[in-house]
Amino acid sequence: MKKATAIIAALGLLLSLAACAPAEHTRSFFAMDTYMELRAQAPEEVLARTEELIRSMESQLSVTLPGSDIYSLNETGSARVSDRTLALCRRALEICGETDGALDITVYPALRAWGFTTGSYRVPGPEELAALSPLVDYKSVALEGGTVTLPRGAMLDLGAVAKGAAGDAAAELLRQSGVKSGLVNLGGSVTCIGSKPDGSDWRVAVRDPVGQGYAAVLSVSDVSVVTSGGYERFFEEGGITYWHILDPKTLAPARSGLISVTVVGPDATRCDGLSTALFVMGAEKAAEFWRRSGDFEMLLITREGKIIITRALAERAEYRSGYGEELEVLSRD
Amino acid sequence: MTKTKAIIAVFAALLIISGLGALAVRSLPGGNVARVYVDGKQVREIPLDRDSETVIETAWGSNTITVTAGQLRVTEADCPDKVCIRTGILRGGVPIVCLPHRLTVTLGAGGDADAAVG
Repeated sequence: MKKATAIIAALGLLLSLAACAPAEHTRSFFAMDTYMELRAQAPEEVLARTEELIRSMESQLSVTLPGSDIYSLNETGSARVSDRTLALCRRALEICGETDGALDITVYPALRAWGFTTGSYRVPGPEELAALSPLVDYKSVALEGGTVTLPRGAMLDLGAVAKGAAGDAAAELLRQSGVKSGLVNLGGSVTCIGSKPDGSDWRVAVRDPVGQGYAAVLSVSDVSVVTSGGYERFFEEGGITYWHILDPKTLAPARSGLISVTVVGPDATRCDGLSTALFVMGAEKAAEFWRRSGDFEMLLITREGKIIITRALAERAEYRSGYGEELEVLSRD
Repeated sequence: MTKTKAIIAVFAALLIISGLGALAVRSLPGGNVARVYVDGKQVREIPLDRDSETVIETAWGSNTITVTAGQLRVTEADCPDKVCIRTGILRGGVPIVCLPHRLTVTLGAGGDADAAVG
């Protein structure tokens, strides 16, 4: 009888503990040209404030929205911007420098020439790209006081880091509001807060870049996961596929042998910028860059379907859809 | 004594049932699903690993969503602009949106994943 009482008491305790945790809420909305989903053990009001924060960032950072900091800058060549925009410009320029221009936030005029900004796709001729080439140089962006200045004709676009920055800001707000478990999914740029409510890792899937389903599932906690892929926005002409990730050196779609680059690390802004830069670099240079850096992990998928993954991440990865048969695990030494 | 045993048996049975339930959920086929939202609320989840045709009827209008060979598209709609149909195949990162019907179709994580990137 004693035993039974003890068991009932224990189960009762478990149930009451479960009831103590705040209920999980989900909020989804459309912003920054993508579908976003917030999921957290927090009151709905906290998620509403997080959505507001992301929308206010969009209204400052958008390259296409009249009145945004970046829009005004591109219109006039010089603009006083908000502290947040300025800080993000500075961080983005650091990543441009660190990756030796594999990420370049001034590539926008070329992106426009290819029609990726409007959806009216076309293949610009070599002369046209050559004429745009002097405009693309992140080193020409001047930050002075609260003012950003560009050379005549140059344009700035923070699209390669904006979703990451929004993920960082959203996660920070949620953490400040006491959230211990949550998932910020900004159209495929995911920031995990803590682990799942049951204490296990979040399971973040990396989409199969060529087929349906997943290439891999990563079990992670308290990190951001960001993927850049050549299949997200693209068009075909004359049997050739052209995608939106341009090589800032050639101003043509980056053909580095990679089709999907996933970066995992504590900072979503950096993961976002690096995923684009490593895509442009290709597998070999990306591996060198990773060995020098030490503050992120990565999963690369080549055009042939081979997976190249860093050791610490390999321990957290399961492969799907036939991936992982051809596998290279990178280690630091 | 028999009462004790009965109570333990009931709890043991509950534990086994919930365990089996969790296993059943975990062993769902991994892969993408499409999520259909109307006016910001999820109304349907459509698996992409089998062919299907789903008609979403709301106060704003009707959209027919078709899955063929793993590819989803809106095939019929009584909206004025037909942007949802012209968007074509649903791909990661780019949802299908029918503004007049407040309808959005987006790729979501299915199976045992909490989120999907790429």
